[in-house]
Amino acid sequence: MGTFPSLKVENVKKYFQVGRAVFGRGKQYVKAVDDVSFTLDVGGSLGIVGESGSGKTTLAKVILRLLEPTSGKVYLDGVNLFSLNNKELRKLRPKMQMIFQDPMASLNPRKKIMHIIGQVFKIHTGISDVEIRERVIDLLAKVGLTPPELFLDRYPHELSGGQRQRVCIARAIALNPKLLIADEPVSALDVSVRGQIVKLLLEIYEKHINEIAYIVISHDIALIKSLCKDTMVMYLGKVVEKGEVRRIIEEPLHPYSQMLISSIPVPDPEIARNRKRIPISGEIPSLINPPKGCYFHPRCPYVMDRCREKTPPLIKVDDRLVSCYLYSE
Amino acid sequence: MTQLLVFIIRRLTQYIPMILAVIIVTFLLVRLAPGDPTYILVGEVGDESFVRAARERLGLDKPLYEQFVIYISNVFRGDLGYSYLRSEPVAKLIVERIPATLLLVLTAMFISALIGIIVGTIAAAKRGAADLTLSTLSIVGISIPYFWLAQIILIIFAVWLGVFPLGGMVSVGHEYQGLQYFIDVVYHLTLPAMTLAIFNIAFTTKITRGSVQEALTQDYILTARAKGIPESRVVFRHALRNALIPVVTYTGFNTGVLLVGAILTETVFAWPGMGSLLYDSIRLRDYPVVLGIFIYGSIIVVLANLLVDILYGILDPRIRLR
Amino acid sequence: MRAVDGVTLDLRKGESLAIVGESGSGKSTLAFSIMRLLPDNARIIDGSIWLYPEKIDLVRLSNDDMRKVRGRRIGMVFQDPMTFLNPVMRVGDQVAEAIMYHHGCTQKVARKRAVELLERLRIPDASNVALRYPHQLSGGMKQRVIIAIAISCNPEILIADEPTTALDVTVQAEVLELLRGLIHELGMSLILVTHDLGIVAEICDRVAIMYAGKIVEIAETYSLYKSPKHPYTVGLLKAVPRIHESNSGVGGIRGSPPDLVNPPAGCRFYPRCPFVFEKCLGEEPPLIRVNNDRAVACWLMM
Repeated sequence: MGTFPSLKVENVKKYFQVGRAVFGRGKQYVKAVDDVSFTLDVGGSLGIVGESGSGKTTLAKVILRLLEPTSGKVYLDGVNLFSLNNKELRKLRPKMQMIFQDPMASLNPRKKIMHIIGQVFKIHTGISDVEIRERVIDLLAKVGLTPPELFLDRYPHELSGGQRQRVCIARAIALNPKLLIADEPVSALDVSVRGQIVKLLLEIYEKHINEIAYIVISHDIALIKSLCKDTMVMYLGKVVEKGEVRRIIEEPLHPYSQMLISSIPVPDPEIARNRKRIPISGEIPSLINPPKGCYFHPRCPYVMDRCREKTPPLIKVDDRLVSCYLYSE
Repeated sequence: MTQLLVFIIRRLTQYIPMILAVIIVTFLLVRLAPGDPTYILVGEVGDESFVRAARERLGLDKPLYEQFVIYISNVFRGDLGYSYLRSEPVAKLIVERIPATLLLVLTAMFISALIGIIVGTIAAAKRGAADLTLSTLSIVGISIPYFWLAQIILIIFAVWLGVFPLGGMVSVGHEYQGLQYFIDVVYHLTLPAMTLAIFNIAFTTKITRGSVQEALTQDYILTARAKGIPESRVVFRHALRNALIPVVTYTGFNTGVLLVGAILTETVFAWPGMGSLLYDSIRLRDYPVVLGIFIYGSIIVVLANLLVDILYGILDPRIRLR
Repeated sequence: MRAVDGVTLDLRKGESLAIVGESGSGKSTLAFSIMRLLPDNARIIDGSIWLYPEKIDLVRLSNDDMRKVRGRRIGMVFQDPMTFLNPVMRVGDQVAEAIMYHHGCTQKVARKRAVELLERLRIPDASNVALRYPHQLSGGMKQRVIIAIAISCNPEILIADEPTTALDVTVQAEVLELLRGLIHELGMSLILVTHDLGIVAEICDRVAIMYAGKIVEIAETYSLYKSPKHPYTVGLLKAVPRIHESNSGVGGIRGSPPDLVNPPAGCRFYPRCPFVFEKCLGEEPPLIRVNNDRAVACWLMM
């Protein structure tokens, strides 16, 4: 492998300005992403788990530079994406792709599938139309849309939800990306169809494990467990725990992770009705005025004085990274 | 409540530049038009020496920015110039006429809003044949030109049926007081107000119907129905209350349209308002008055929009917090 | 399009019944039919909905009589708290409204009761919250307001249509806990319409699985999860990713939910069924009682 990790995210921050500076009240910010760093090697799979307001989708968009960052750096194969100009960035686009939550909204309803996927080749390569058609057929077969010829002339609304998401995946992997980010890839789909897409994503991942690194974003940690090895748990724009998914589920260290895992409904009445529940307290606070110190402290059953003062740093505890004073000296 | 106040003040500060812009444009229009501005302001009255004297008096020989300063300070003191044709200050002429126009326009607006909203709501709630008829009538109502309609109404009700007077605001020759005066004015007000109102009724009905229909498709209507409350309450308290917001906005915009309609309507009915004054002044080339009405009219429209904004803030609590 | 095609179901007093299905299953249509809140282009063309103890057929009630039932005898909790609350009406008033109409009391009395309800739903500072507008509340609070509206007149039956789908996981857990407590306290029966097999396991006594407008299996919760009989149920349970197992949630069920305008002949599930055989293509299997508390609609069972 190369000397660089495939993806290196360094102290990325994304703040949105809200409200104007008026009458002594200064500018207010929504700190959607507040100092996030991580690395991902080729062949790596990382999940990002969080609820609303966690900043997970904003983080993804900033990494792909679909949103301009407030500060920080993102290196893809050693190249700082934030230092590129528009032209250079455009050339790199095929190498960093995203699959979005709502397949219907991601596809142009007026274009046929052939055009939707074919466009990728048209814009970024110089190959002939005949060859483009061949490649599109290949891709459709790869994502399980068979017979592929049948789908070329269809419009998005003629396909089912699962089929549309397969088209989105085909489009994303068309030019062999190095980084693939899937944002809630199955949330908009029926339960019985989700498993199909999960299977597909796993197949693609295994086939390209030497070239691709991928990130899955979801509020559903069970989904992330099926797709990723590692995961980061985010809360209000910060990372509170990072480690192997399996381990975090077995033994969550951060109180928020504990609360999260204990809230997940389990499809087994034996377990569901007999397990110990961590009482949920309060709700996710406003992003405009986050609590001082550790963002989670108002809801934390183990809150100490330190927690109200300063945000705990992300430190290594066993096989994890955790941001919590319970675990420091 | 303070939220609302802050909201109003903020809106006011947004509108004042607009009025200033109107004033500036008026100033520039006159001075920068080809030809001698003196003639525009003075009219075709008087001989060469009079014109020269007028030019000096009006300061038209001074540099532009000096004129501007004088002009602005005049406007703020309420001095909009002098009508040489009628030998009266412009401001006085206009201000005399404002009450009559306001009476006419506000009455028309009030009636048409009331009727339009109620009819529109019922049309949206009932659907079916009644709805179709009403929609057609609306389109007809919107399309009829004012001056034609005004004259037709005049002919039918005043001439043929003789139920209403031929024009004016008060009966000539009588000096009514108090209640009798009030009744006399209403008597004269009926036809012109009706004329003006017809367009707005049609328009308001159409807008309300669309808006209420849209509101009735919203999810919270299901919640309301699931409570088992009477359908009339669902339509009026839930749907209409939300649907009113765009209706009010459109009605506000319509003030401008109504003011324009008032010009011809007042003229046909000899109603002594700003509209007929404008018509006459244009005909008589009394430009200072025309320009003065331009400024006053703009201020009225801006104020109407401000009122709409305030109403909007009252109707929609989500706006107040922004 | 036959959204609900021949469904027979009963709900016992004090029980929580789940109706589980995906899109096109007809579960929401069924729920809205009970309340007679269907959209204009929908019609109940056949069948009866009996409300006990009087044994009134809701389908045949006049609009006025049905209005007396709604809110008073049957309450409904909706899916998306954002769009299901009137944005220009104060939250407390929205809760008080049904009380005023069904109990004929004054606004003042109704408002007081509304505040009590909000307190019962664990909304802090309830009297102030009652004066607020929906957009000033968080998602979880809004959903509690919707629940308050539904139970405001102490109905015997509560229908909840995907009540937690739009909420965050941690908020969802709390709301479910609340619902469960309320139902026991107030002795209500619950019909929970959902696609989420996880929440069903948490609070429901019985489960009915719907597919393409028909019920394919009904059973007691524990039995259903332990030994599902219908191939669709089996597939669904396998398709849900479980956090304490490895390799769960991969694969799903092949194919897609069916077209309800032209449903397949025979058993509607056959195009996706891993155990399909000849009989399935020709004839539709009826819902047959298999033992005391289980009914399945599948030729494999006979």
